[in-house]
Amino acid sequence: MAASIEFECVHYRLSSGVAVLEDVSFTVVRGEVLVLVGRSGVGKTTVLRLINRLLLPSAGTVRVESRATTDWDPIVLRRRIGYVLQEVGLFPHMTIGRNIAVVPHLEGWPPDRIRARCAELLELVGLDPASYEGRYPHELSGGQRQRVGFARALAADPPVVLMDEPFGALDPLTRSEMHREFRRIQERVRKTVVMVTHDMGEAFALATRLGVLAEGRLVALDTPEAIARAGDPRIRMFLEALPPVPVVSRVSH
Amino acid sequence: MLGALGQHVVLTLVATATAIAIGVPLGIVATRRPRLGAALLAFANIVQTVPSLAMFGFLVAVPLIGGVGARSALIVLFLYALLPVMRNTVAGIHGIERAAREAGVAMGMTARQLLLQVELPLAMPTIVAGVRVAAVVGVGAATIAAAIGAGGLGDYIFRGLSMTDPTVILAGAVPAALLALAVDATLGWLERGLTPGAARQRRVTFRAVAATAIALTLIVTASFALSGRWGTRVIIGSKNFTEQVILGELLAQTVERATDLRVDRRLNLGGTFICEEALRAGAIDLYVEYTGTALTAIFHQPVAPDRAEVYARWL
Repeated sequence: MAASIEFECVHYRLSSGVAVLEDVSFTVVRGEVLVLVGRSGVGKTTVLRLINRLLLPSAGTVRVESRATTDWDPIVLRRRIGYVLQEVGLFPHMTIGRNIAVVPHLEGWPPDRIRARCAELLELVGLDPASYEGRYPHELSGGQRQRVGFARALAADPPVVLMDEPFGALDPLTRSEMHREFRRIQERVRKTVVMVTHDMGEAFALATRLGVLAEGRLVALDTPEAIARAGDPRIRMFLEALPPVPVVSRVSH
Repeated sequence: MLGALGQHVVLTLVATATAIAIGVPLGIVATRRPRLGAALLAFANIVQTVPSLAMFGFLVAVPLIGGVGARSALIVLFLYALLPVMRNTVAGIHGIERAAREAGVAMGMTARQLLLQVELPLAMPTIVAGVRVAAVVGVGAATIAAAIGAGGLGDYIFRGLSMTDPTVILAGAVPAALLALAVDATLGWLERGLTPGAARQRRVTFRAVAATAIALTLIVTASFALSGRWGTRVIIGSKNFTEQVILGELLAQTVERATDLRVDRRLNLGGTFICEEALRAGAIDLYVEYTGTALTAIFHQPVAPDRAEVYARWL
């Protein structure tokens, strides 16, 4: 299986000298959904920001499509990577259609193609293009905004999508609905997805493989089933501290 | 009256437009380079604290940009308008939601694309709020500009003051107040229209605002360039009371009748100090001064009680 993203002995230190990530190595296979879990502040978001070169590693190498991020033109790299944030980050002054079209627009697609792509993506995320394209973000519910955020990340058909606690701000019902939607969409688009969350239930529901970050290190990386059976006390402790795991994992399998 | 109102509007409009054309870019620079930004804002702050009458008087003597008339008035008004525009540009850009900026960067926008497509449009309501403050303050400050012969509604106010006639003062003050209210209301409407989620015409207005600012700046620059000195002309000034205005006009008509020289009238200037500074700076060529005033105020001679002695020394 082809590697899409590789971390090789990656360290990341703040300018103050505080180590955020220490000696992190892993590989993300093309088309899989890798979910990273860990407490707040453990460096999950840093991992994502190292992938799209919002940050550069203090030591070690991050490779995207076999090329080190330091060798990529950051603009070119970022346009090949979709990014979904918890706060969604839709531009409030742009319509839904214009929001989805941001990257195709930056890439200079002809208007016809942008319009067609926009409609296609709205269909894909389950929103009627005719009635949503012209609306503004504030006219949508949280779940709808997150759907648009996902559509926007997919707009230029990037091989990689990064998701930073994408469903964290949603109510539990909407969240599990979005989980179903995510699985349905991923079934069709087969992107390489790296998602971070502190919700263990969400991780079990969506992950192809699951990584556990603790104190700046990757302490486990395996299938959800193997993680659930793990004997390592650091992981067990972590699992037991997060009660919704068994319930959601039963629902999802 | 309409002429004075027109002058007033033009003064305020041009000064505010220039402040937008220069203050917004400076504000953007300030967000990119915090240290330079702090220095720029400190300068604009200091300028703001100088009383406008003092600034008008001071500028009369400054070479190149100074002198009497609309040009120096515009410079003063521009300096006043600069702070609110610049400060609000900085505040507007800093106030943008972190997520929106981060999304832009993460989607591969260059710094320039981020500025034009995300930062400026989102900061626009705050910037317009700054322009609103600048314009309203400008309408007020422009009344003082009459002291250096820039015209406008201040002419009525100063005339009313020297005639001790409240009606004449009100003839200047009431239209100025109404103008300020109208400007405030118009820009307030624009500000609300630009607030995300409120209106749909905002892309159009954003461009319209930018285009208007640029066009106005060009017009003003061009008109200053074109109004350069053609042929020989004499600039005649006067102080700001009726007798002086009449004396100045007499002087002007005399020169016009007796010679081929063109005469520019810069009558009704602030007072002895401004007339003297204007004369020294070459902004006016001629004005009528009173022997006693010249002796004591300009040449700093002791007060002489004997008229014959004064004439003897001067004639």
